[in-house]
Amino acid sequence: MIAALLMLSISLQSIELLLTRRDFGAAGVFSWRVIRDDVAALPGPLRALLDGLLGDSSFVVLLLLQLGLSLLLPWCTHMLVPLGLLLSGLLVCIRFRGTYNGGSDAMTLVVVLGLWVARLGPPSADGDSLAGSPWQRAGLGYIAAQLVLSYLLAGVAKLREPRWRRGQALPRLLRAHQYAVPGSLQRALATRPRALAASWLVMLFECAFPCAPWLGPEGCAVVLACGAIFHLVNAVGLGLNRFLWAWLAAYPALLFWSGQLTG
Amino acid sequence: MSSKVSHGPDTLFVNARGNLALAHHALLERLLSDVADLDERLETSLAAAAVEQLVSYRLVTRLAKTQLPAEAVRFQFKLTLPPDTLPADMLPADSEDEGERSEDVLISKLHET
Repeated sequence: MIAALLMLSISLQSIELLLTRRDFGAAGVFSWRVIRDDVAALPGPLRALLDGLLGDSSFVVLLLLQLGLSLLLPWCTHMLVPLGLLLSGLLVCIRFRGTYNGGSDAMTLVVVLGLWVARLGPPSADGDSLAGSPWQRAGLGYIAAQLVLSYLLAGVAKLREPRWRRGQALPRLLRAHQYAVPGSLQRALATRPRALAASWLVMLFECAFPCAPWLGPEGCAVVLACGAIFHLVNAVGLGLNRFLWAWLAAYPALLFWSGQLTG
Repeated sequence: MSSKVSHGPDTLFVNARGNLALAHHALLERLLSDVADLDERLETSLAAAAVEQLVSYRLVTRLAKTQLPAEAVRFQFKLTLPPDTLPADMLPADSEDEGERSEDVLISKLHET
């Protein structure tokens, strides 16, 4: 399940970058000819390797390779597939001086790393079952822990911000130029009581998320469904589609650990 | 910057232009952060010269070029934080007034196209 969702997440990311490849070509905004100055202090051979992999035309080949590997994920359970995706993901981050799309890139790397660890051990007797080796438990545990932390830290950060507590930050976020939020959504949260209620709903959900695995698989699934709706609204309203797929790919790991903790 | 991109259910799977616009915005934020970092480390006159060497400045210059009409010969760009996007630590703590909070952070030199 994780492999299938991760395939969807990474393949969509690769396709999006390929569709905008002019922007990281020689004449584009993100040309490697400029960005390579970031790695000027690295040893010569390493710099040459990065030039070879991340140059304005070779980067397209890297993205095609990433797309191909992602499509293999559900069908080939060899650990080299997620390892290749981990390396390509890190290279994409170097290419864009950190991340291309913030937290969604980070969560994708978390899931790829966890899946790679999970596949380090021998395959379980019943094929695709998750309840296998300690490697699988460790890999899924890493993904689940990072998932819980992602919500908790976001919730605590909002809770510490007076503008979030007063319900002022959310309407301000929806008005921010870069998100191009539809007018209907802006209007829906335009009144103070609604903005306040929505803000506290988000903060309480994020801060209470660590309780999810202790509710058992059924309760955890309900919380994750709420999380999916939250990301769906963000994808439709704010254009953050990558976050939806990256976080969905991590959800099965928490469901697995919920069963382990409460079963 | 006119990189505002509409989105909705149709961009749930592939939102290439929208995410590119967000990457452009992140680039502007990176330049803001780099400029603030330079201001802390260097004297004003040195910082002004060093800004043009920043990778983020050179990338934003390229971004500005993409927004120009074809007949443009020279251009200059200004980085302004509109009221709605000012970080919380740059806003007065309890003020409700949003009237005069815009701030020019950077005015570039004149560039040839």
